[in-house]
Amino acid sequence: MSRDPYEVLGIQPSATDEEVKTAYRNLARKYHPDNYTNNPLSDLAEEKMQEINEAYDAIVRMRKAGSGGSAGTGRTGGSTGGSSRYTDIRRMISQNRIAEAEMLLDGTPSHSRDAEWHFLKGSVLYRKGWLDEAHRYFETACRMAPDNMEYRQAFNQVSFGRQTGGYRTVGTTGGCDACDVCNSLLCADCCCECMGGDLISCC
Amino acid sequence: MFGYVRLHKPTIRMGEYEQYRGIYCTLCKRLGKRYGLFARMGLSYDLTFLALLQTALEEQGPDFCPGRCSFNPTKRCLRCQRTGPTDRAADLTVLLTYYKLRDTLADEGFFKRLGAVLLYPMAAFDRRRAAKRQPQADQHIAAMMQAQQAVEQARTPSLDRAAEPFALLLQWMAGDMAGDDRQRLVLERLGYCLGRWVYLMDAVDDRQEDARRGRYNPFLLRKDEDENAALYNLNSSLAECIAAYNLLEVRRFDGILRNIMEEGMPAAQRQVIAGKDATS
Repeated sequence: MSRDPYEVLGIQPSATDEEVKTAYRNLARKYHPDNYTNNPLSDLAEEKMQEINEAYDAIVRMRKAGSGGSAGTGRTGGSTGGSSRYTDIRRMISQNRIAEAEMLLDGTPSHSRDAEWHFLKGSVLYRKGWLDEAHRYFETACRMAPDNMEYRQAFNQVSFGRQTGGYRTVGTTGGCDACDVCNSLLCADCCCECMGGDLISCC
Repeated sequence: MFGYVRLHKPTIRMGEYEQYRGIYCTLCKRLGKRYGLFARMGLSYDLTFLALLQTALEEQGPDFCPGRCSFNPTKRCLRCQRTGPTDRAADLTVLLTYYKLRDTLADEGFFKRLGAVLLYPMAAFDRRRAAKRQPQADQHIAAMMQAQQAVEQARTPSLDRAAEPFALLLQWMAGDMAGDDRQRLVLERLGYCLGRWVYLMDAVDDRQEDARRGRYNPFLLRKDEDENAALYNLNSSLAECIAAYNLLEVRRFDGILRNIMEEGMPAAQRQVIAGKDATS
């Protein structure tokens, strides 16, 4: 890694420790492996993450010369081993051999399609860019195996993209969401009850 | 093309805005230079975005110099001296205009068809010259139109399947700019999701008219779904675009590209979903 660590983090060498930390944190959030689960670009994101981690470590080391300060970078391990039935398919997916993996998956008879099958089918579709159907397969996988964290994470990630779009919202629209409405109603109900009345009769 | 991939003016910096205008004006100028006055009518924000993206990746900058708008000589604008990316975008504009016109001839109402018939000879003439310069692009666009027709005839209710032909076209257009394999991977993902987004935007925009005329529209075939289907699918495509873009190392124009993807496109999205005319 010959690149200047400050350049990697996009800051000046004169930056304060706090600025270094903020820059690192922002970049780490951007390239965190969780943002690229199942993504065909996950390897590239991981490389980038490593570069950022190394740059940050290097800066911390330079600044605390002697006292070997290690940056706590808690990375999550990528692969969770599935059942042996699908190891071939999982390998194909991780090698980006999507068409082959999809063919094998489609060859599975419909009565033996379990939660993992739905998860893998979702992963294949997601990598192809078929985001709508991927979302549905992940949803089914989660319904069939509600305790599986791998499926849950994939589902959450796609749902997050659907709801937020990954862009920062421009201006405040002064919105109030479903939570606000409920909270306000409950609040109003409490007030009414204090005064002897009732707004929501069931609570 | 469609004009959805555009800037968000309220938040862009003045300098960046001028650079963007510079690329836009150069594209218009090059269209005129390479194909003539008629081709300039095909000028669009979407192809400006592609030219911008390619310029952002190139080693050498666009080398701006001061110039004037040829339609309104009192207006000053920047002009690129290195025109590789804008020339390519100009060729693609001409090709897309031609195929769009063919599409109009096939399935629009009488007056639009009449217009298309009148414009067709010019477009066909320009297209022949553009196809000589970009034979691969011409093939890809023709293949896309054919796949699109097949999708429409099959009346598939799957959004993913409906969006695939156009998404694949943009995947190729973006991937073709790549300098190495790593960049190609990122650009292809970016292009695919961008194409998907543009197609879905167009479908959302045309929902009412398509319903009236009984034409194919994937959103009309999904009655079971909640009304947020449009928003969710646009959002997810855009989120993937931005995730891919984050892995792209651009040499310039990062501010402009981010303004378009993180603010301009969401704004266009809101406008289209609210049902207002987005191409104003």
